[in-house]
Amino acid sequence: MPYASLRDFMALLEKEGKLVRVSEPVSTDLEMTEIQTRLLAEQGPAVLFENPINEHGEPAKMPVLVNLFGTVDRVAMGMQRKPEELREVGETLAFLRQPEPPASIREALGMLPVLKNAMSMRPKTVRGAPCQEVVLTGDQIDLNNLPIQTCWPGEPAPLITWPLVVTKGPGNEKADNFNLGIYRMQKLGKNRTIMRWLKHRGGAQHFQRWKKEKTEPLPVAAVIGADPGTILAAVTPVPDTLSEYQFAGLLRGEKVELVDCKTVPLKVPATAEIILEGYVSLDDYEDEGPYGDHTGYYNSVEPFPVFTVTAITMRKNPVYLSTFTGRPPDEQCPRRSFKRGVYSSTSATVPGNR
Amino acid sequence: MKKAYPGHAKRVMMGAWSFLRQFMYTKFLIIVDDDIDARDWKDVMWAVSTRMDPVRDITKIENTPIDYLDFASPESGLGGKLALDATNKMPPETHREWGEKIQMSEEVVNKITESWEKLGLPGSGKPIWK
Repeated sequence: MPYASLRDFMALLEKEGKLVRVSEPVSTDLEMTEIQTRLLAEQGPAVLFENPINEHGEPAKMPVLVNLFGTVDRVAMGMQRKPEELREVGETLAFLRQPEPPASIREALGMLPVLKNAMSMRPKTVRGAPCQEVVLTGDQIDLNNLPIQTCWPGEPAPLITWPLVVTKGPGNEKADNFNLGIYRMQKLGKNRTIMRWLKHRGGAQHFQRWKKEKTEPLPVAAVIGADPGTILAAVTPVPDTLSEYQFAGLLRGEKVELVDCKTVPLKVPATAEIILEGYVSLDDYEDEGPYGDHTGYYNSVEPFPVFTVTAITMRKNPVYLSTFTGRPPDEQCPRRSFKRGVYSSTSATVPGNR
Repeated sequence: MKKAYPGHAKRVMMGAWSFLRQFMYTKFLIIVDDDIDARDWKDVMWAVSTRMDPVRDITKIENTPIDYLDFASPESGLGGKLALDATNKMPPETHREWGEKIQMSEEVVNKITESWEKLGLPGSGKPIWK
């Protein structure tokens, strides 16, 4: 059975001693980063900070989960697989991006099960979802109520580090289907952030196509904390023509359940923890950064479009999922080791790669 | 090395290869700044991947003396040398704004070291910063 939610996965991790609770107050300002770097260096557990303190020294309103996928073991667990089985996931992915038609009928028949699987994994829409137990709109919206981490000294503002950003293109082609990507979001105020999607990423591609056809801002939803299959699908490089929601279904072996957002025409995972609904402006840009990045240095400042929140929906007792990026090892490394499995099995597209 | 002027790394390369006769058997050199631990391969590779351009910062020399035991060299006793300049670049080596290294504040590092036991977390809790 796939994990229905992040908390399902957390419960199993805790039972196996792979998630530890910290009741001591810990600040979202630098302290969580420092603790996670030490845990990562020794393949330590995931941590739930039960009493986080925000950057103003006040107790935060919800716990913070870090180092969730800090080991290859936990990445594999998130996919309900053993570490040595990750390669198969890569092979499925290599197959899905294969540009050539099958060479023979036999080969075509061999593909059928995978294709059938991929097709049957279209997400289904449900009504009444845990991620909408609480709905905050208008003046109730205040990002200061989220325990958003400040990862490194000298950074300009707290940073939402692990949002699954949901977008949809302007049309009905496959490439316009739901895309999930992780783009860091610099907090600007109570209801505004910057959306830092790099030009070649799925969200930015949707944004560009949208901008050509439309004048109104692009609807966007940022999912913070979801079931592990959906999170891992979102960090996996899948072909543009395959929605990450569908790939998540394939990974989980069960369809992803989605719910309609309250204020934007998008769908989000029903069992998620926190959702930020809103719009990305087509012409309002702000300077983003400098933030510490996986290179081990601070990025240079670049302008990116502004995201305005129209609703925050969440569970009654939500968990805020966070991480940091910094000089390796950081939490992206175990995820990259999964990608390495993907690349090593791209024999379908790279001549001579076997 | 403690880089003091543009091109300094190249001088170090040439110096290393020329200093004593035995040094000419060194086929490969990697030059790093003094904040990098030359005996820590991870540290060195971090400098290589972040501080050098694979085309601009490579020095190749042909037909240099080499140990005849080195069967990979094109001629017995005569072969090439390669050096990587993985130092931070300064104008006019680069005209771009250069990266500033991330460093956790000492105050936070010390605070977490002191409170590690109280946090109840497993592991040595040793800081990663040098």
